[in-house]
Order: sequence, then structure tokens, then C-alpha cells
Amino acid sequence: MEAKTERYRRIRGAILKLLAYQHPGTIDFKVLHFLLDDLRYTISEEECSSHVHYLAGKGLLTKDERKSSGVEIVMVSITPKGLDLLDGFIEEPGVDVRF
Amino acid sequence: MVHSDMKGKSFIAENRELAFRKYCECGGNVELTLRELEKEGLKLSKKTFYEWMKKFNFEERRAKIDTERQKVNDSQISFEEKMLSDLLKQKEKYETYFDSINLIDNQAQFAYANIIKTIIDLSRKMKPKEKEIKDPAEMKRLADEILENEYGIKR
Repeated sequence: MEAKTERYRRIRGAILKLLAYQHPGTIDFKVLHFLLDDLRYTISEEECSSHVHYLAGKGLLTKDERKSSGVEIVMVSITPKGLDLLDGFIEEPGVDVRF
Repeated sequence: MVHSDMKGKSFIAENRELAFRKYCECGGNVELTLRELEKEGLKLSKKTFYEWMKKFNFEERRAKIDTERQKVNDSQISFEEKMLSDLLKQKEKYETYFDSINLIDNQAQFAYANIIKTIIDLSRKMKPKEKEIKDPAEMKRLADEILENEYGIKR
């Protein structure tokens, strides 16, 4: 597997692990982006958004958006399916949770 | 073997560069530059200095150096500083959101508490050598108090 795709898998795994730590609570998207950098996964917001969108599409996390008074906030939380993946009950080829 | 006239030209060029360097260090202040040059053993008249300034583009060169220096400084603003700035803006967004809604949004409150915690952690990381006003245990107690009293969140 290419190094780039391997990196994508690990970043997605890191996202789920960060969310699992806060379960059942949510993390603001910008905090998630910062925490990934803290784990030495320095990526752009666009890339982070792309990974979150992917994981949401797979049902591994939920992305909640709130809009009011001209402000928009985006919160992310892990789903039961995402927890199952981290616990090894299911497999998902696009996500690496083995670290 | 160095010819004496070449030696003289090299000496003038060196003095000129010294003058330019001091001019930059003194922030473009001619009076201060001349005083500093005198300390270095180079006594110049204002007239001569202004002639050199005009002939060898001191002002333009200094402006270019300042621009380059600013670019380097800007790129050195750390990721943490930018992140802290973004997080503080995000905190304000949440506060605006909370002010605008008529119900309790638990998920948003949880995310907001996380932002506060991240801001505190990041601020501490950015200033490790500064003496803290309160010790970490006291800070944690205050943060817990705020979360419980303001947002009903118990750790």
C-alpha cells in the first residue's frame, strides 16, 4: 500500500481514538484539528474535513452542525460503530486503529 | 601584492558598508548612525553621509531588508499561537450561539468545555517558563467550578 494511503488510514484511526476519549461527548472540529497536530499529524483544515466526511460516510462518527445568529459551529462525536472498530469487533479497510 | 590605490578603494567600500549596516541598526536615524560610526572610528560629516545615502541607495536597501525580515518574523509565528487565536475565536462563536438559543444544547456545551480546556492546556504549553499565578491543582479546581456552576457539567 502506498505511504500516502497508509497515512490517511492512520489519521482516520487517530481521529476515532481522539473522539473515543471524549465519548459520549463531542469535540469541536477546530479542537480536533489541533489535537491531531499535537499527535504530529499536521494536516490542513481541508484535509481534516475530508477525513471527517469520509468517516461520517462510513457511519463511524457523526458530524453535527449548528447555525444561529450568523455563527456556525461544527461538532464531531464517535458512533457505536466507531467504537466497535476501535475495539476490534469490526474491520474497516480505510481506517487503521492498530496503534 | 595589493596596489595602494586598490587598497584605498577597498577601504572606502568597507566603510560604506559599515555605514549602511549601522544605518540599518539605527533604524534609519542619521544622527544616531553618525554617532555610532564615530564610536567605530569612522567620523563622517552629515553631508558625506547623505551623499552616500543617495548614491548607494541606503534607504531603498534598508526598506528591502526590513520587508524580508518581517516576512521571516511572520512565518515564525508558531502554529500554537495561531491555534490559540483560532480557539479563542471559536470560543466566542460558541458564546454567541449560546446567547442566541432558548434551550440547553448539551452537546455544544460539552464541545465548549473542551475548547476551554484546550485553551488552558495550550496557554500553559506556550509559556512553560513563566511563573504561574496559581498552581495547577488550583487552576483545575477553578476550571471544574466554572464548568459545574456555569454549565452544569461535572467531571
